[in-house]
Amino acid sequence: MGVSEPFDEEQRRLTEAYAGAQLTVEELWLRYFSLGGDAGKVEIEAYLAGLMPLASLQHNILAHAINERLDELGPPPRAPYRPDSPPHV
Amino acid sequence: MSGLLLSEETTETALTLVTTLAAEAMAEAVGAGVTLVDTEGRKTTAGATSELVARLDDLQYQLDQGPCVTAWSTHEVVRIDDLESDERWPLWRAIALPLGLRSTLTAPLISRGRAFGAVKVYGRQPAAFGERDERLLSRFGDQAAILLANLSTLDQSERLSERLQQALNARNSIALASGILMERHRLNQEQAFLRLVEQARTAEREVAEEAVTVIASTVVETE
Repeated sequence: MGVSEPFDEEQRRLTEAYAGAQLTVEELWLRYFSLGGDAGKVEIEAYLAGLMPLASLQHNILAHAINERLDELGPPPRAPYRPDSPPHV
Repeated sequence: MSGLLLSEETTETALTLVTTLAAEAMAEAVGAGVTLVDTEGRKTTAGATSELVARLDDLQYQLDQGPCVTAWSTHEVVRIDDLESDERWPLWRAIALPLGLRSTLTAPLISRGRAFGAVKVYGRQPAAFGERDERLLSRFGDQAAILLANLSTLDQSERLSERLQQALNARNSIALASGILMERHRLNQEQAFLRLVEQARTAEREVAEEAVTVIASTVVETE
């Protein structure tokens, strides 16, 4: 099982995706645990902070936990347009 | 051990879920429970699924002997195939046997190299548990250990029980489905997980749902 470099590209992009997932580390950890993840919450937190490597399988399980959450949230809200200005203004 | 700083209620909730799943997974089990050992060596039972389990466990703690005490101190899985002919714990046996106990299986709970308890199932028939059950119970033991070590700051809302139940069910399904895919397609664990993710995406399901589908597919195949 390969171990990722602490600051590698996958780790960085996973952290970016996590920022949009609106989950606390605890909530993320429980989702990750549900999907079969074996690392503890402290390890996950350290990985998100780029302080510790994580084995590929564990990275993939964590990535999927984030992706399922992003699927639940749906596409991010887009900026709304205003309707035509009222005629009397 | 951070696990022992958990509120009693959270610990009980998490462990009852694990022991209930363990007892359900093993047809011959008449009860399951978890022994927790604190830093001073005091032992208590949590998550007992029946009164018999609680009684048999208390006896072990009072006598300071029995399969759970041994599993905890040796870090090894302990199995009793027939208590009638097993004389490793004579004092405990003398009371447990008349209570109708014949078989036990106990796995240690280990976190970061330290045993902090044991998970056990009890049976009324001899040879109730085999090697498959040993692996199964070890897995439940690992789950209980991971949960206890990490649950401390999870919010203790009334939904905790439901969420943990879902988490444990999903985790078990995914482990089982990964095993099936590993065997079916000769994959390692990492490849099996990615395959499951891929199948789930194609079917537009969550991975846990896809895992249930994979498990169901073997039932059709073998019948």
